[in-house]
Amino acid sequence: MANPHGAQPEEEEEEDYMSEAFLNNLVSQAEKNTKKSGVSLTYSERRREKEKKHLANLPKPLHVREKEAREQGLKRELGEENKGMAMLLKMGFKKGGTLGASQGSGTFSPATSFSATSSSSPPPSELSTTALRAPLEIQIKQGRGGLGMESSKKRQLEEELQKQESEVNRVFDEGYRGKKGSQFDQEKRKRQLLAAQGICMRMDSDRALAIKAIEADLKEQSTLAPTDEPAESQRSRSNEFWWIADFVSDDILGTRAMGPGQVPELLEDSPNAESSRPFDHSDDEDGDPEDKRIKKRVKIASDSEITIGLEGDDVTEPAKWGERPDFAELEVHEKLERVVAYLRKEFFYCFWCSARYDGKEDLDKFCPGEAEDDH
Amino acid sequence: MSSKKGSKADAPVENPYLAHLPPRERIVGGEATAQKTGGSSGLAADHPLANFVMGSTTAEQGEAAEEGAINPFTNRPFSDKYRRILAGRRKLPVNKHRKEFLDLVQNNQVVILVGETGSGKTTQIPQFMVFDDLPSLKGMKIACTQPRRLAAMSVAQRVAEEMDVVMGQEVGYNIRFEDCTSQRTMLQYMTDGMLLREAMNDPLLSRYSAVILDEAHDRTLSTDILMGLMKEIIKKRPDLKVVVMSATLDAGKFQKYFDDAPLMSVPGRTFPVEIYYTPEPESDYLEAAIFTALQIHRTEDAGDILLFLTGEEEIEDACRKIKAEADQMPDAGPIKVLPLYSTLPPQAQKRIYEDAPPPRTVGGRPGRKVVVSTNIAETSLTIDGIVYVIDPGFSKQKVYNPRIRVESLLVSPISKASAQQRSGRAGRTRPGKCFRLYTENAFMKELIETTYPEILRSNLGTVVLQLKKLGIDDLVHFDFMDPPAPETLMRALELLNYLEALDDDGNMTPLGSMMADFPLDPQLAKMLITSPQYGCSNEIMSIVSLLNVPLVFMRPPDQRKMADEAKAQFSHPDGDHLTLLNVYHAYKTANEDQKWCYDNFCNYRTLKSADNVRTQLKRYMERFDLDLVSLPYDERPKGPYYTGIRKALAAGYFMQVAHQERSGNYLTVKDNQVVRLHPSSSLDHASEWVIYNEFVLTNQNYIRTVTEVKAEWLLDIAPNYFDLDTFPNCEGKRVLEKLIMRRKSSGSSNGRSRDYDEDEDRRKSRKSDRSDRDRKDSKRRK
Repeated sequence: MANPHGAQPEEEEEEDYMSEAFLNNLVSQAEKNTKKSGVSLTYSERRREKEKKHLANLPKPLHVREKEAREQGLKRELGEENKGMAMLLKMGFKKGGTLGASQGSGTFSPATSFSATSSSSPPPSELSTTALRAPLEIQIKQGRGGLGMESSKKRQLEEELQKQESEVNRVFDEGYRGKKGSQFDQEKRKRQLLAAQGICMRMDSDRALAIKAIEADLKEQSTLAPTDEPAESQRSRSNEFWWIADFVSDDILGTRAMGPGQVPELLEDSPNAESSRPFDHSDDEDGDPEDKRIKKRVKIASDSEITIGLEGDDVTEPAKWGERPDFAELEVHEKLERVVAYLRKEFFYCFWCSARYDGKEDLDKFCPGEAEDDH
Repeated sequence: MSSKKGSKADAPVENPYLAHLPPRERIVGGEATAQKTGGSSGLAADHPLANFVMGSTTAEQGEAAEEGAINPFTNRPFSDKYRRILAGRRKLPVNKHRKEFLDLVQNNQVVILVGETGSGKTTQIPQFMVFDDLPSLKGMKIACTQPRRLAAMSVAQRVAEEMDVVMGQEVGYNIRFEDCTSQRTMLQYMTDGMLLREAMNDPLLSRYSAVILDEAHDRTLSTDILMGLMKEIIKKRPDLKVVVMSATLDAGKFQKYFDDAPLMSVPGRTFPVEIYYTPEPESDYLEAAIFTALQIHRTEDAGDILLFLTGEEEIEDACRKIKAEADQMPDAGPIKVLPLYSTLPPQAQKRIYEDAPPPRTVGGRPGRKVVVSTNIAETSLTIDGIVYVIDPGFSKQKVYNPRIRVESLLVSPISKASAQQRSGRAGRTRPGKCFRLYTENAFMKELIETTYPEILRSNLGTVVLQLKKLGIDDLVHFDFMDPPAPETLMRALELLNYLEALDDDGNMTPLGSMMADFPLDPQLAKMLITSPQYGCSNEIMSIVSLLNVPLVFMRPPDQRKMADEAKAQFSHPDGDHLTLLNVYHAYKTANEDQKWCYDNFCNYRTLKSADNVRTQLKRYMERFDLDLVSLPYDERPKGPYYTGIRKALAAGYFMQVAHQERSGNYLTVKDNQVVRLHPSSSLDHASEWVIYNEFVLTNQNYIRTVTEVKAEWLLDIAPNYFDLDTFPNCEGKRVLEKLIMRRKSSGSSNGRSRDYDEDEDRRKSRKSDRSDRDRKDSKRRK
């Protein structure tokens, strides 16, 4: 019934691949896909959007307007406002009905297909007359493409677009975004991880009274530091090393020397650690509160000689996490998750609230949840 | 039964001018040649038809009469030529079925006959009927309808030869604007539209003892309506025989429609045809077609080629290219490339029957004939000698959409049935080959089963008026074989209502009745009927005549520039209708000289037939007592001459109006379709309002044959149609609104009595007027 007349539905629904509608359809599909993947619009996407809006406001070329008006007109069904309709009704026509002798005699079966073309639907009792409900569609052939050329082109185009789309999605999901598109996100995660690791280290150290002297010193320094230390200097990266150094120092202190300011494997994705640093600083707004907290306690001694092995993590983490020998191979956000979870479990400390609770009950009561999004 | 029939009409001398009336009213002077009829024919005992009993003759009797010495219809001895032709006729496939056919037709009122093209059904079946039904003895005749004018003419000619009679006497044809029959005519070929037209004034078709609807598979608009009518008429006329002839096996549908009428099938003389598909879709079907033709010419055995293309331009193009390429081939035989399309002059069309050229040297590569045709060679024409068919899978088909009121010819994929029909053309003389320029997959998946009947693709304005005239009031439940979309009927009713042919209840007005009698579209009929009010019926007659024939302007591809220059001398700045009038006047002034036409790139044949149409229209005008008047021609430049004509044009075409937007393009009124003037238009200045003949869809939307009109006229002529409440929002509406306001404020009388001079003045000042309006518009928007 929804199908106004005979012709097979597939063909009707398919837009001419040359037509705007077809392209729009693809665009909207692409948009849907992007939205599905839950990624916010990038700048270039926003720009494209803007351009599109701008273009829409410009006067369109004549042939486009012709086509739009035509497509619109062809969709507009004639109704009450048409004088002919009133006359037709007076002749006994019923709205939504069809013409023809068999109408109203009860033997009429709704038109399925005018001598069906589609292979899927069986021909309707082969000889039945079928009454049109709506006018036949108009297909305008462009150019001299042979029969089947357009649909084969359309098919190819569709396949290609599909391929492209899946390629884009793949790249999005697998690496492209991780490497470039969301470098910002990644960097933020890394900073958060470092911060969390720092907290973790401190808390671990606090808890473990059998701590080395250097750590005690550090602790003292950092307790002194909070008020007079300007935030800028606190932002120095060295605390991470400190933490890491300290972290690893439990076991393999002194395996390898590492200069201050160098970024270890945590920034392994950045080809150039130097370049990623200013980026970090400028964008570290929401990382700040917890950072400060740590930095209050962690006194940076950038000139101190600390040795650390890049493989240190690999070696130490098993010791630290026991059941998780692959910590170093985890994605940054997974690492972060683990550290955050560890903090919650061990110290009732919520990384996102930047607060230590008095116990499990307190934590459950006042902390909104385990994830960043909950906060 | 036969005697009753016979006494019905007393074969009178009829006034040919009263051919539209029922037989009794046509009689001029009484008994004259009235033939007595009886149980037997009432003829002299030695007459060849003496023992014939109407409606119960045998095949043997008929054949004997045909083989006799005397022509029973002219009482003259048969000629030698007749005997030669007769021998050939006996070999036609349909001849073997004469007895079977007579049995069926004698025992049934309706018979469906399926016969492949070339079976001889179109020429033979009507003759079988003539010998059995003997219409000549009862002053009636047999009608055989053809969808095409050309077919009606050529088949009538052929049958006249076969029956050894003078064309136009016992056998004749009747097509629109051309009646080649006499009161002696007993077998009349005619277009289906003509028979429908005759039915309007003779609803029971009382002049006919039998009606043969040929080429029913073509499903033309008129044939479809005729079939619906026949179903009604046979109830009231049990003596009327109806034979529906179709070329395709889809005949089951006809059979069912006519309440399971018996079906007879005549196998054609066919040989197997090998079908080849292309492995991949073609990127250019025209080039592929040309290439294939050349390939066949170079490599295949003797046998002619039939190539199907879509239109005149394409066909001429292909002909040139094939000829040029083939002449360059050293290893191929001579080639003769012939175009075939309906607007080709008849002499040129007949060339397709010429033989292929002989080989250049004895025993050399065979010569070949290549016919490049539209789909008229698909069913209606039979060309002998075709062995290879090239089918790109397209044809030009009419489309109509009531929503935007566009009726146009569009290149569209053919149907499977058409494709089969086309390939069948290759197997007429010996096993043949058909090259389909598409993949088998495309054939299976992209082609519809059968072509949509014309009734689903046409504007029904004329048909509805005719049906109304026929007294069929319930159009909703009319027994259409394939009912069209309700919206199509809606548009037709709307059109006729605004033209005042139908009242608001759908009843025919006296004006509508008169309009129906004119063999014209309702718009043109209305225009012609109201033209005396504008004082220019003579001129409108000329214009309408030219609108009813093919294009007068010739534009040969190699002389386009000269042709355009020639056309420019007739161009009227106010529009194409006036240009047509100029051409007609020039043609008349040049004493209808053929050379003048040739020199001025005008089609002599077309102008001549337009003149003929005009004569016919004049006869109608006189019949309805409409004044034949003209406006003062000598005062053209200033006077009301052209203005009057343009107003009269608007009176018919007020529903085909477009308004020029500020952006420069036109918008069709009410449907708001963006259109542009056809490049051929002679309208040479920006015209805010125009009427148009056609809204054509190609890659672009065009309005063709355009003339400038004034908004004031439109409001005066059709206040109902230009009721602004029914208008969608658009610039044109705002202009009209403003106009109405201005008229109201300046007093109602003023609006109606604007003078022609004033119009001219306003045209000159319109530019400023317009910018003024634009300013106001923009102000209001702010």
